[in-house]
Amino acid sequence: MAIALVASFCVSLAVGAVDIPLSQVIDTLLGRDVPETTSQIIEVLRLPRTVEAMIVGAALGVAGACLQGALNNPLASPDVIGVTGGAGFGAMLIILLFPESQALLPMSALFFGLLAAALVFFIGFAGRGGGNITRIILAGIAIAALFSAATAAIMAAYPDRVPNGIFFLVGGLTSTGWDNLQQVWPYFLVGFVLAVFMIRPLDRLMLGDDVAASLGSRPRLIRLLAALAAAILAAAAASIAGLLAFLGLVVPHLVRLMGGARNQTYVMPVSALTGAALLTAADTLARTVRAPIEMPVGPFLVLLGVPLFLWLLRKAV
Amino acid sequence: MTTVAARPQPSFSRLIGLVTVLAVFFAGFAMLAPQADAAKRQRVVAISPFAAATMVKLGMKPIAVGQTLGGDRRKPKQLNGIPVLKLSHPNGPNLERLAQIRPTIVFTSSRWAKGTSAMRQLGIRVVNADPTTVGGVYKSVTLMGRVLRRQKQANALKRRMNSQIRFATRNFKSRPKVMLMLGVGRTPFTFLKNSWGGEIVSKAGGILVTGGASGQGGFARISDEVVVAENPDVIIAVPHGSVTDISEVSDYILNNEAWQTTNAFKSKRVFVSVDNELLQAGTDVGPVIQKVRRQFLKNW
Repeated sequence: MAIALVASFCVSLAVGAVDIPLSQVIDTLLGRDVPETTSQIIEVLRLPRTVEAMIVGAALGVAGACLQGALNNPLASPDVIGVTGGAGFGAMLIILLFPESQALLPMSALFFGLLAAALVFFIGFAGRGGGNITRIILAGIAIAALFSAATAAIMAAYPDRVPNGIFFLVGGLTSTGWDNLQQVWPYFLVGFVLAVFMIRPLDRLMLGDDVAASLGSRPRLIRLLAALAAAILAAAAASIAGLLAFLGLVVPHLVRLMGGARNQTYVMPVSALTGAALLTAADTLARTVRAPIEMPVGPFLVLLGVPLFLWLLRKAV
Repeated sequence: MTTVAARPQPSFSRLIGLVTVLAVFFAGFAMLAPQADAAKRQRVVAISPFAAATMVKLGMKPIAVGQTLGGDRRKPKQLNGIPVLKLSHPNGPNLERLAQIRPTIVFTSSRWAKGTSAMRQLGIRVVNADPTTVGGVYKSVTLMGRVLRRQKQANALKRRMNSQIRFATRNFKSRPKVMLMLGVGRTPFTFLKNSWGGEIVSKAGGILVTGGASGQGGFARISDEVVVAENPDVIIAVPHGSVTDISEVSDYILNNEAWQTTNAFKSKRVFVSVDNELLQAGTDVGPVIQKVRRQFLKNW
């Protein structure tokens, strides 16, 4: 999977709407003299976007692995804890109501994504019976529906601006230089670090709550922290690339089907690599298939991911 | 003595005069030269159709223009042959292609605001020039004149617009109730008073009917019941989309069963406007108002 990631990284830098010889791409990366336009295209447009695709893909892969482990549910994805609905609302708020303030889009999506997750955690974990998986999932569905309805309401109020938001709703990366990453990298860092610390506790949780508790673990706390890591990663990813929850759902399954192992020590890091490789490859397709027009990456992700997933599923069954 | 002393005086004063003339000439040249030089150095891309057309009126040509949805009939012929950049959400032009043509200035629209940050990182000066109101047109012309160092031409253009608008907005006999509908696919939206089309229709003597709807966006989806209740005298449909979709959308609007009971349908005053004039702002405000009066509000 590491090889696939390196390959997708190289292809992503080498191809685009403008043909640039591979030798010039390498020269640019090595800091050698190349035409100014070439260095601008590689350094300002392609490199940041490729790095974004890798980080976002890795974040969604890890978020999916964390959630499926924490909720012990193979259908868990960032949708389930309301992050996707919240981030979508935050983004559409800026796109439709404050189109002049595009720079605020990542932070708005992040804020509302985390707010939605916080509401789900509050409902799901507080009080008697808190931490019950069914309760968390149902709270997530309710909060996601709430934010989706709010998003639909503002879309109906500003119909002429809706096309600007479709790209975000379908999921797509854009060339914005390093701006987006500069705003949200601390959230990715916190999310990844927290997720790494949750690998072992989640492995223990796989044995069941009672066994985990008998080993000294606190299942409710593990579930909360793992879901928190997933929420931070998914919200940060949505703030950059829009709603790509499919990646969070399918990548951990792909990893389990490919490798056979189910423990988080294997699933989480390999999900990060797989998510990064898949999103980088899909984004390369999205910006080159109909160049110079750029397509949203969401459909390409599905196009690449679903056949692979179904093939592995058939093999496994 | 007197003769000898008197002779140098006229030549000295002539010399002073010559020096003054030369000084004025060189000062004037020095003031104009950097402007002409700067204007030559500017490589301008006009993404919004408004900016492209306004540049032509200011006596300049962009090195590339943005693609126009809904047809090119309003495009000035001076722009023929200039490369057209395809536009797509959310950035607008493909930024790699844009970098390749090395513009120094891009006149853009808030619709493509997502791409602004990367354009600036490419060292391009990005200026928003896509107004949606008549007042906004004046402001944008002033701004473009300043950016392109064509203030004199911009002021002349504004004076011309003033007189054209004055001429186009006189002698109204009466004011009909007008409903202006935007057709996107099979979903019609009403133009509100704060939209470009709404403002033009009002200036052309129509009373814009919106069913009481208001909002910042300039358009609202209103119920067919409201259309029937408001009973407009004139309905103007503005199909929006690619050129190939326009006839289909027009057919749908013209044959809408729900509106058959309105005055507009009964008196066969349902029109389709296809040239983007009611959708896209331009400096041709006066001629557009006149055209609306002549084509859609005749005899009012």
